[in-house]
Formats: sequence, structure tokens, C-alpha cells
Amino acid sequence: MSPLHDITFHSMGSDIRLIIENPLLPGLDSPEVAAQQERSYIEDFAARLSRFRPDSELCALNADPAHEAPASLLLRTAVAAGVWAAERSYGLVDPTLLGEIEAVGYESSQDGHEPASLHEALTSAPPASPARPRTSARWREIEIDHERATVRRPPGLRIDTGGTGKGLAADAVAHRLRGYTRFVVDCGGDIAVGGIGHALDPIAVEVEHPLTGECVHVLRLAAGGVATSGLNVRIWRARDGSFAHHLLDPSSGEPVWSGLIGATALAPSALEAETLSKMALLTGPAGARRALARHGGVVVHNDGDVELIGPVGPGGARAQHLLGSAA
Amino acid sequence: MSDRALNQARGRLIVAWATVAIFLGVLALLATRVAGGQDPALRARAAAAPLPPRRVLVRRILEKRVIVHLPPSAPAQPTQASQQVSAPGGYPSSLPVTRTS
Repeated sequence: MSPLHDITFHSMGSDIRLIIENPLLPGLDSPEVAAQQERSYIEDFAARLSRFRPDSELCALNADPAHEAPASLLLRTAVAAGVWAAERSYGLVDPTLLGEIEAVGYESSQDGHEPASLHEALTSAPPASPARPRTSARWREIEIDHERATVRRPPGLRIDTGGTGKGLAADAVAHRLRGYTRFVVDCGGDIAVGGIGHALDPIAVEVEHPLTGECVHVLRLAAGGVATSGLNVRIWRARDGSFAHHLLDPSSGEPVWSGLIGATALAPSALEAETLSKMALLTGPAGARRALARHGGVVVHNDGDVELIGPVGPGGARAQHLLGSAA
Repeated sequence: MSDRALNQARGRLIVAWATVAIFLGVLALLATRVAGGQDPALRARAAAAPLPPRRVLVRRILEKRVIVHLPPSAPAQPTQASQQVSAPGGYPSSLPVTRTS
């Protein structure tokens, strides 16, 4: 066993944790130095892509009235990730719902705000109904031009990269750390895992219950990503007293109440895991079983029941169930 | 009418009566058998090889679901906002947690 460096800090509105073991190759920085460098990278990533900071590159892009606007490599990559997620989710994870998310009350960062009670929200929630993609699919009108270093979109079409930001950041840092024995990049619960060490000895990742905070399941990852979407953190009371949250049904622009309050997805990358977890939560129990069937996942129903899906379920080799066993 | 012509007419009459008599005899025989439940047509159908039974394919769809009922408990404490740990061992002090953020 080699020494590891484990650092936790706050960024992107969440707790970020980096766990890095020794480098595989000579010449690479120590895990401690690498962790500080990756912390700086994530903080820079967050500052440049935040929709809550008027001086961010994302806000500059959204304020630019021209059809074609200059964009850095990071911004182009973030926009491309948003479009990729929309494509992957058949339009459910839509990066063009910025006006809608502001309209339901998510106009400023909720970092540090106490979330409203999910229990109370569920008692007054409308009947469960799965989300559907928006027929206009305006995300298809976004074009990324790497040669000209620009993004083209219809004037006035604003882009929100927040839905895929943490997964993309975790993947980016994982890519930068690929020379280390093993590492974990945890961007607020969206996690990328890699390194030869984990390939030989998969790391355990706990899945947290959105209502109780308990660990309901342990996933074992050799590589790739895992991410969780839920209603329990970004949830608030609207001005009319009703409850709202940040996961919108693209077809209506309103918060979705699909019958699920949490969804965890495994995937080859954190970006795909984040996309699949949102897709699962948006589409409800039946849609989640389809979305998570291939790589596996865990969903939590409105009543708190936990369901294991795909390879992590019965007979799956990628998970160890904690409840009722010695953990 | 000559004798020869009379003989020819009598012969034809005999043949005709004989034909009618044989036909009626066979008809009576068949009617008797049909009345007795020995219809040859029905018997031939009954004697034919029985049709093979129709094969019905039954597919059972199994859907595995694991439902876990959790006992109520207090919410977990949030992660400490900022901390650094250098551990000599090969495993982190606490497991990574995937959660809503």
C-alpha cells in the first residue's frame, strides 16, 4: 500500500474531494502538490463557467447578442458537454432551459441556503408524471467551432452548462491525474475513479439516501464514474408557497415530480453518469429502469424505498449490499 | 313383330330389370349400414391419423427488483467543508459518497 493524499474543499457550490496516491512514473508531482494543482484547476473551472458570476465566460457568452461569439477551449468543451448530454438523454437534459430555471426561482446560487423540506414538498406534489423532451429542441441549434474558437447559436438563446458541469470537471481532473497509481475525484457526489490501483482493487463508494442521509448501498468501482441526482438539496418554496426544485421537465419548464427523489448512475465517465442519473430521475421509475439497465444504478422512490437496477442489482458483480450484512 | 324382334325386346327388358334390381339391392344395403351408424365416409375420417397437438409457447417474463425498506433515522452529518489528510495506508480514512449536490 502506498501513501495517499486526501483533500476536501468547497467549490462549485459543493464539497470537492480529491484522493490521490503516488505517481506511477518518475517526474510527476507528489500527490500533495498534484492535489493543490487540481484544486486550483477546479476553482478556475467553476469561476469561468458559473452562471452566477457576471464576470464568467459563460455569462459573457450568454450576454453576447451576436450569432457567433468567441469562446475559450474550456467554454467550448463545457457547451459541447451540454449538447452531448442532451443528445445522450434524447433531449431530457437540456442546456437551454436557463430562462425556465430562473423563472421557477433559481436565479442565484443556493450555496449555503437551507433547503426546503422534501417531506413537505412530496405531500403537496402533483401526481407523478415523467418528464418529456421539448419538441423545439433548441439545443440542436448550438454549434461549436473549434477552428474559429467560437460558439454559434441563435441570438438570445442562453446556455446553462450547470447540468453537466460537475461531471465534466471530475472527468477533466481524472484525465489530468492519469499518471497516478490511483485517484478519486469527487465533485459534490459526481465521482470519477481511475488508476491501475483501482483496477486491481476497486474502491468502494457509498450511496447516500436523500431522505435519511444513510448509506443504502456500496458500489465498487475500478474505473469510470458514478453520479447522483436528487430533489433534496436544491429545493425551495416559490413566492406562491408551492415547492420548486432545479430538475425541470423540458416540455413544461416546470419542476418534475416523477415518482423518484433520487437516482444514482454508474457509467464509463462521470459526465455520462451525471447525464444518466438526471435522465433516470426525470423519467421516473419505468424510465429509470431503462436508463440504468446497462451500467447499473440505484433509485429512491417517493416513499423512500430503494431499488437496485442493472448490474448492481441481484446477481450483479459490481456492488455489495450493506443492509443486513456485515459491512 | 317377328319372333326375333320379340326376343330382342324381351332381352333388353330383362337387362333393364336386372340393372334396376342390382341398384336397389346395393342402395338398400348402404342404407342399412348408414342407419346402423356405419357411414363409410364418417368412418374413414375417424380412422384418419389424429392431428398433432398445437404447440403453445409460454414465455415467462421475470423482472428482478430489490426494494429496501429503511428504518427511520437521523440525517447524516454533512461533510466537513475543508480538510486535508495524508494517510500512510492505501485506503482513504472515509469512503467517497455519491449524493445529491
